[in-house]
Amino acid sequence: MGHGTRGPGRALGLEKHKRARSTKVLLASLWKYLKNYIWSIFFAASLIILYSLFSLVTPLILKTGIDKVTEEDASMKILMPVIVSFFVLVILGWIINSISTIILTKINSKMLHEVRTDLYRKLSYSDMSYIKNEQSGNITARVTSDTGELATGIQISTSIVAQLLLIIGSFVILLVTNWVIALISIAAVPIAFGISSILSYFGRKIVLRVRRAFGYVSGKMAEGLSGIAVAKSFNREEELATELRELNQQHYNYSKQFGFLMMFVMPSISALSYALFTLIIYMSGWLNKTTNVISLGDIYLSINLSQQFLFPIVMLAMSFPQLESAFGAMDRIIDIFDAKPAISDAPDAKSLQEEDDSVHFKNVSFAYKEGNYVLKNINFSAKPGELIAVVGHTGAGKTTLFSYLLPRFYDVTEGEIYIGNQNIKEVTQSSLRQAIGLVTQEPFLFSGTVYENIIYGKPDATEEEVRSICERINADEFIEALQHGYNTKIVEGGKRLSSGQKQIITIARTMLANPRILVLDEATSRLDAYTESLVQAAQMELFKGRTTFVIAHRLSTIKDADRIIVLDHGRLVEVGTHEELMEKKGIYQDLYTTYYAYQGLEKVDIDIEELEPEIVEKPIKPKKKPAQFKLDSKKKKP
Amino acid sequence: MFVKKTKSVYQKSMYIDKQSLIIEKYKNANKWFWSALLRYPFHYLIGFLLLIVSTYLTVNTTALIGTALDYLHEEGFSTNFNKTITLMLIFVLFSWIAQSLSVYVWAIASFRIQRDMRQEFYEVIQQHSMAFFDINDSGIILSMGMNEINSIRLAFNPALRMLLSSVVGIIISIFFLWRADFYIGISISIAFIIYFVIAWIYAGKVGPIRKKLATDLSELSSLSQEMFKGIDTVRSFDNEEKEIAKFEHVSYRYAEDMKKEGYLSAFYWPALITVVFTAGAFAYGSWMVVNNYFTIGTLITILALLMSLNRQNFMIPARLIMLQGGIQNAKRLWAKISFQDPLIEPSDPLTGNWDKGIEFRNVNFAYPGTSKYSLRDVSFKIPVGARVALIGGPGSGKSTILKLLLRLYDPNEGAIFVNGTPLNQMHTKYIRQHVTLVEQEIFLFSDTIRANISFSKPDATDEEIRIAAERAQIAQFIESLPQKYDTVIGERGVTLSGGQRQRIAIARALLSNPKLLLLDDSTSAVDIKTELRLRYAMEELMKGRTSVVVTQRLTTLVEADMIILMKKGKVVDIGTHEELLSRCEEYQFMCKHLPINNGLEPSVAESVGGGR
Repeated sequence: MGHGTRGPGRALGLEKHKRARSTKVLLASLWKYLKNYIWSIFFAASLIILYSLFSLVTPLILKTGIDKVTEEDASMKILMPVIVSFFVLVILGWIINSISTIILTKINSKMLHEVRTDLYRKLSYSDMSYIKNEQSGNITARVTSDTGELATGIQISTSIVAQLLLIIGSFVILLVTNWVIALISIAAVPIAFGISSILSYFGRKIVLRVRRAFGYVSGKMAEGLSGIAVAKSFNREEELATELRELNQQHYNYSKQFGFLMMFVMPSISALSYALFTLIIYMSGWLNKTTNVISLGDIYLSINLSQQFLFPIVMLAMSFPQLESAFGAMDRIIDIFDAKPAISDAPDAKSLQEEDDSVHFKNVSFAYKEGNYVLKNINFSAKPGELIAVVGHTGAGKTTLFSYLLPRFYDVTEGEIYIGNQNIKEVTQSSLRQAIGLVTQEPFLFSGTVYENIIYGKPDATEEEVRSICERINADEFIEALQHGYNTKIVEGGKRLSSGQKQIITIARTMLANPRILVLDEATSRLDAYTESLVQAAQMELFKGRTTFVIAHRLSTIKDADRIIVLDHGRLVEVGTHEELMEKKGIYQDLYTTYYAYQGLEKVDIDIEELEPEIVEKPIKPKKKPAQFKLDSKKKKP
Repeated sequence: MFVKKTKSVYQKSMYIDKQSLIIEKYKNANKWFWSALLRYPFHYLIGFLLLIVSTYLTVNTTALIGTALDYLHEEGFSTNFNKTITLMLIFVLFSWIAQSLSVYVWAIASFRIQRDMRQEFYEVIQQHSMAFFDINDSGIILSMGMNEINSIRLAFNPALRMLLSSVVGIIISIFFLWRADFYIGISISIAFIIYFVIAWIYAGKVGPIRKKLATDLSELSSLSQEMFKGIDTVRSFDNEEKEIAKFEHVSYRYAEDMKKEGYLSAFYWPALITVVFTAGAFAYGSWMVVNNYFTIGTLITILALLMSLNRQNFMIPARLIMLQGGIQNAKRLWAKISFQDPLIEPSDPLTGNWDKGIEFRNVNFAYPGTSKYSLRDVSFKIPVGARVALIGGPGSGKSTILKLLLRLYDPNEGAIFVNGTPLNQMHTKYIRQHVTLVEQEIFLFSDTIRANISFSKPDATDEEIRIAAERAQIAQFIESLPQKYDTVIGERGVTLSGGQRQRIAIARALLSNPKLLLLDDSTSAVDIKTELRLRYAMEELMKGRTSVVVTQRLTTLVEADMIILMKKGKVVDIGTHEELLSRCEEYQFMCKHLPINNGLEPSVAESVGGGR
């Protein structure tokens, strides 16, 4: 079989995980994939059984040979069949093993591919809140390492079958050969098992500790690398290196414990096997003295078999945790298959019509979690081509209403949203999302070139189109200044670009896609004031005549809007033009005077002491990140 | 007994160029890799000697099987038989002890190597200039520093140890076989030579496929990371199928590579060689016994030795792959260690007088690895104590000027002078003691607020930290936190708003008390409170020192002693707000587009924009 190696952590089944499903249920789900290959699996399994039988028969042949050699009338003529059959058997065994390995590898790789892509597809279309609540790293672990672990589990289960066969077969033959020797050998089993369980008990603890320490080193190094510019500008490289050295030393200290454990385990197992066959020889001699029944061939056979079953036992003891962790992985994978699917199209869903771009919210309420409404009873209509500015405090529900509910990332809890005269629940999501362009707060770029990112929403765009869009929003200049211009690769989500530059690229991307309805969610918040004003001017021109919702963060946006809507704690509280709303002297006027009016102003007549105290943006979070990027012991300065 | 004080190549000291130290010491990747054995020679020597002893004893135990059985065959349950058994048990006992110690010593040395090499790698890498970090993905560097160093350790322990134990076992076994019979000895020797050659070739074939599998897997994982991080974007462009197709493509490639690896390991030729030779030895041995050249015990010894060799050596290819993998990784790491840095520290560093002016003289600059110039023929003089504002569109080169002043890079042509001394004749450490950069995107460490502020001055007292925080307008906020200055920020602690992060960075800069302050202040805050606090904080920071500020803030522009207007890497004009406003069209255009002139109250706009 494969000559792979695995870290100690894997072998010890570190990831103890409470399974939600019984083994039966898990196997039943696995069956869905296995059944396509059932005949190949049967074939491979019979080959493996055959191979195990061969491994049992070869020592028997050797025994026969030795017995024949020691007989008085020994001659090569009598020995020849034994030698030939030994020869044939080992070569056949090798071939059979090769064939079964090939079959299993084929099945395994195909299945892994199937499970992976199915899982990925399922995740791609699963409920938005599911994805948002999980960290992308966790989801990725499901797709990559859990599926991999499952594949390993399948591989291991076949070798477990072979090993069990070997153990049982060897013991049966031993028992038939000589029951006293068989009993001696059996006595070694608990010792071997004991050593293996010491390994898994202490090993688990030590390996966990080593891993955690490894995580600290890794976290420290990660931080050192991402903060390298800061470290350099304050000449603090030495101190960071010293901090790393301390953690590194700690990792070494724990690793040393692991080394100590290894010193105990492996040599002991091998010493046990040597001691065992020495004892077998001694016992055979002793038995010979009294009853004189054991032939040399039998003794040789016993030695050979005793070796053959001691190592499989150790292997077996180590395989079970791996198998268990494969089941755990399977369990987590099924969690995803069982997870709530994303919104699916109604069976009779039509394409969104193009005639009418008005948007109507009718009694819209929404809760992410049951009963916990973030939007309440929103009633509002935007005429085709109208520019609507949306204002309100953080958490008022602006993003939820326009960036999430309108493109139907989530379905409204109550009420309806109409575009023209079509309820968005009755149109295909594909046509809906093609009609709506969304520029999110956090600019997100894919790996690939700048150019590829811009044409993401319109893959067939010509180069002229791309360039003219970029020129209009003043992006051309900085893109050309990049290393390879438009063909510059985006690395690490764009670490060499400022967030303003990233944002301009995402704006270009949306503009190029040419949507009919536009949602700009603080789309220019990361631009410098000068660029922003240029971008906005271009936007106004480009999007003239389209229904547009601008979640506003600056005065200049509000100024251009046809109407302004004000959200407060999930309710729509005010609608109207700037002048109308100012006259109302309500929430808008208040917001305007504290947030918008003074932007960029030179002098402000507020004393710093009058400012309200700030609050923490997010309270202390419960630990959610994997442990390896955290430090537990924090040095407190005196 | 084996406890020794940590031996590290480096002792803490200020100006050690670790890269040249390492390169001088180890010369190349191979030497660096194998140097591992020389770093802890005592451990490895002892480990190796113990390994020989234990292997000799175990092989001898196996060889004694034949002797014991011969006695049994000829003499029955005799004294000689019992003596042999006792001897075997003693051998087993001592080999157990020797092997355990050998495993332990070897493991200790290898874990030390892992620790030392990791530290070495990190310390060299972090001394590389920003040119290195611009072209290298920090995730990859991290994985090299962690995982690839691990794989170097695995190459020494268990791979090298087990390979040595196999080789020693084979040599000693052959010696015993040779003693039994010349022909058996010579043919098994040849068999094992062939075995090793084929195994080495095999490992060489499997290694790259393993590597490919690893690359495929990391590609899968980054595709998936990206997809789920950007799920909003993917969905809003209705591109799920496109993303799935990308993933499917790589997943298929992974499956194909996995199959290739499986095929290779299925037809593992070395295994066939050893079984065939065992069969041959059985035939030959039987013939020898039948013709009375051998005792039956000799035949059994030969068979037992061969069987035990087979059992112990089936792992050889896996170990060889590990060893080769370790060497490959050492090469990759070495390539990063020996990075040719375009920024060279002066061998005889000068110091400058920061109380005089700073001058850019005909500076041309392109980022390393780029042919495009980010700065072209930039010249200007900054008098001491001046407030300089840099303004220009994205890609105009403003931020680049700040980076050059901090000597994160050197100009390609032209030079920057501090009172007549070129910047590249000064040591970066020295420059950075006097120059501080507050970047637009603030990086804070996931540590306490105290640690973050005092990052610029590790020996700062609590009082100093408090004053810095106060001047940066962040003290009040910090005091309101339950753990005050000991509050941990970042992933494990509280999340701060952009404005709060910025002010912590300002406090950090205040504490370093630089002669020259570089400030990138491109984005302006959204709400009035944040804005106001920031403005006070910045005012404090700029007080009494030379400052160069990238800004769009009208206040800063109006108050600046000198404004440098940049476009496409060139200086368009230099002057005060009034001067530029009166003569520079570009500047007028820009000012017109600054938010204030878009405002709703023209009276205010007038008072600032045109008010003179």
